[in-house]
Amino acid sequence: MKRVSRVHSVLVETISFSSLLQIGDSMVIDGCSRAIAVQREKELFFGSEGNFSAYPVFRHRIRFPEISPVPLLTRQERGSINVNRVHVTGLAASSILHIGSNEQTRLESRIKHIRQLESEDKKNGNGEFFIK
Amino acid sequence: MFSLTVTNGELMVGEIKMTAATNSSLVLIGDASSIQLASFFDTPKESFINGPFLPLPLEGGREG
Repeated sequence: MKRVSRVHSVLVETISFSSLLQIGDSMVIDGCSRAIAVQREKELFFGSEGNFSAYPVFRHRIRFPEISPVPLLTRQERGSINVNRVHVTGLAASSILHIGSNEQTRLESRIKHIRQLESEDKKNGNGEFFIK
Repeated sequence: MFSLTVTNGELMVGEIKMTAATNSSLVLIGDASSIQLASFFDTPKESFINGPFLPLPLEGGREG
């Protein structure tokens, strides 16, 4: 038995990249977000680069513990959750704002950061960059 | 064998104000039976690449 959630007003300015604003109860949520974040010293980006399978961080298996049913006795005392106002500037990358009860949620996030710096000899040269 | 007793009472909150929820985060206003979250973040020193700006491994692989 779960409580009733009452929210008087909700304002979410941006929802992006498979994020979710859920109003109401839900059973199973299974979310995943993967990102390769590249920062280069110069603004230089190629169209079709980036392959998740090239990096171990996207291949590691996650071993979630088994959900074993614990004998659970839930008592409700005038049970309700009341929130007057919710203000969120942004939801991004498979994140969730959930108003209402949920049975089971499983979320996963994997991020690979890469920073590419200009080599010293190029810096001292005429400022041209090597592009394959 | 153990059992768990949870007593859910009344909950009153005035205002929730947040800048952002990102990377598979969950903001839950309600009850849940089971929540499992996992996060990988890889930014080792090897991810600094000094040298010519070569493209990363190309898409092509078509996995996932």
